Amino acid sequence: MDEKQDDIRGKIRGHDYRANISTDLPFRKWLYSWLFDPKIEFNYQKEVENWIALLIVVNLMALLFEQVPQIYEPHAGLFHVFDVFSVIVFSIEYLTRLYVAPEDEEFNSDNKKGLAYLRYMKSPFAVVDFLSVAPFYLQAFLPIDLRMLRFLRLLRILKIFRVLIPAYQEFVIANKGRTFRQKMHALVFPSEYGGNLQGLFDTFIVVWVIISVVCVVLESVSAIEYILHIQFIIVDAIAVAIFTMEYCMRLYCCVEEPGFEHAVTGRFKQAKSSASVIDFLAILPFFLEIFLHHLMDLRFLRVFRLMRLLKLTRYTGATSTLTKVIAREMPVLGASAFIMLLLVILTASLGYLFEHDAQPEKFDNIPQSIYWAVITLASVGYGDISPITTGGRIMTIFLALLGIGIFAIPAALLSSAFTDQLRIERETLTNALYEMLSDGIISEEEAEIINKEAKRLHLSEEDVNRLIDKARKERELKDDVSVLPLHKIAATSEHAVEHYRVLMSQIRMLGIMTDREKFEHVAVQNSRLTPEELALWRQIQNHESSSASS
Amino acid sequence: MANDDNNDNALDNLGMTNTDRVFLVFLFGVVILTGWLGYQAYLEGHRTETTKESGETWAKWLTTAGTERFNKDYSPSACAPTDSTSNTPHVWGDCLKVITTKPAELSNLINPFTHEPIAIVAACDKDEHTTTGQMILEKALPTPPGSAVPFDVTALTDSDVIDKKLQIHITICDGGDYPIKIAEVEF
Repeated sequence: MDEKQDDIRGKIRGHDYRANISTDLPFRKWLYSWLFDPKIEFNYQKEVENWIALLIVVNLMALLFEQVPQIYEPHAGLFHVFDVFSVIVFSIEYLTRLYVAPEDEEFNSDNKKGLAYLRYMKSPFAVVDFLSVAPFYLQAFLPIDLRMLRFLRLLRILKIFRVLIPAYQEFVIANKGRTFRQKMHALVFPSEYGGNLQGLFDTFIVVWVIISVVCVVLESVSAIEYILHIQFIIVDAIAVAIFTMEYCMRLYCCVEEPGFEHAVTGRFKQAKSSASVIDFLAILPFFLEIFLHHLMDLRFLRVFRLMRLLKLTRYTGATSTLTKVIAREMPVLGASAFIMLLLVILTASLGYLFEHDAQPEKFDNIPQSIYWAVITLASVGYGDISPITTGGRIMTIFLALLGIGIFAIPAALLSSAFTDQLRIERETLTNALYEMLSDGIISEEEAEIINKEAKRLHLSEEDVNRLIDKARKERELKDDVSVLPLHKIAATSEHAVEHYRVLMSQIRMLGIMTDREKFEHVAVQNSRLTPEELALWRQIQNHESSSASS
Repeated sequence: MANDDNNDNALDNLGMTNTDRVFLVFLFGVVILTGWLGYQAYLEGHRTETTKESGETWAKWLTTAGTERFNKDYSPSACAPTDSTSNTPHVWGDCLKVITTKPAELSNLINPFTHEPIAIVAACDKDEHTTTGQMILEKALPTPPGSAVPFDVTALTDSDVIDKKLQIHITICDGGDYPIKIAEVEF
């Protein structure tokens, strides 16, 4: 039993799980295992690659900003510090990879350490890594033209292939024999065929969403917009091209998604989905402004480019949880909104009644008083309009206190419903665990599902184990019929038969252990048992006696 | 024949159907269209940048003139303060005429939207779109002490006397006839 439990726990990992790498390993092997070994799950290999990729992206942006004299010239020192920092990080990475090369099977197939170093240095990735830092060191010895140096620094982008190529190779293997559309689906939608390349595709979109939104925000700062006007136009055009391609690809290959199989209705269903509508709205302002600018002034649509931020909702489960919560609590929220509306109208009317004569310019009519009512009831209290009559002030005291309670209802509702939803999702996972434990073991596929759910719900390994224990206890209780209530026993025929057998056995035991004559005497004398019940008792006991005598 | 088979195998490996090819052509078309539209937006942005550069040239010229025009024998004399011997005061209209007439430096500035010399307008006209790429020159006059705003900004008119130092605000109208502030200079 303990072995079985250990086997189950060995497969389950919370979101905080880390690989168990022995500290007894030689330092080089230990370092390689933690930082670079792609075969060890839950080490820091992915984190290292992600941070390096991020640094590459920031380097690219720094390179672009260096082309803008208004930005570069006042901050040249900062750019230089960042460049030095990047070179130090990339150099450490290069030297560490070189140091651990003998531990990598790719470079040390024949156990010759010297050759492993040489093979690593000759590998395409190492050459790119070297070229990304070499110009920096070279300029210390040779005079290199600044433009040439900047061009050479562009080579750092090639480092991204260290992440891209293995992901592509994995994708090709996983999708061997599949159609073009299925491959596109695997790239664009999360599926078992997508692998790391699908994750990179998502990251690419997320990065462009962030860049695009940051640009929209910065555009509103006139000093920045003045300097980077052209750059903002270029970034927006590239972002729109990427998002348009993504939208078309999703619409084309969505028919591979379960529930969207039909060529026309499936795509229509996809186009109607909230995620697709957001995708469409993210690109619409660009096309509308270009095509319709001669008909009307559509520059105000630019602010709607901020809707691109909503594209990120596709990549987080929290938004879907919130949507579910709002949908579930909609009737109560509606009722709460209705009470708020009543209170606002009442407050505005009373405000008008008390204050109109004293402040006709501020409480000119009830619609005008509504602004004051909302600001007062919501506890905002700007103070631009305030009651001055005694009646108005007394009324405000009561209604403001009432407003605190009424206006807090939706927030409290949402908060408790959100917690409730999380509890439901955890219970759903417990139920899934309960079903998975029906055979006493958790298969690799089941463990994978649990790990994904644990990651989605941000459960630690300890949390998951607690849920497993809970599910196991429930499962054990289910097997013990005696502790179940009668209606639960009756719900399952097997349990009902088993319970009947137990009861019969207990009646037989009772017959053996008690004085039968006295039992029958009491039963008949006080009419404790009906004749049918007494006959059944005798039948069971006689059957018991006859089977005992035979 | 063998080559054909190889090609078929290659296509099978790609798993592409005719619909996929049509989609790829469509996707390529979308990219081309978006690229072209982006290029159009870039061109308009570039025209705005050119207009901004013209505005900066004006700002540079006005700043330089602002430091030199009070010197004796300043040329063009129409932009200098009124001579004590002259009866008629020097006005902005005369100065403007001189500096925007060839071969003066500012006469070469062209509105990239209309390909005509830049005109000075009173305000950007978003409704009629008649002021795209044009320039606005405004004078900022200090308001009396205690006023809500420190300066009163009004259009610089031809009849404005330029005997004293003037605070001039330079604004251009972009591709959508929205104003872009270029500089505030002392003339």
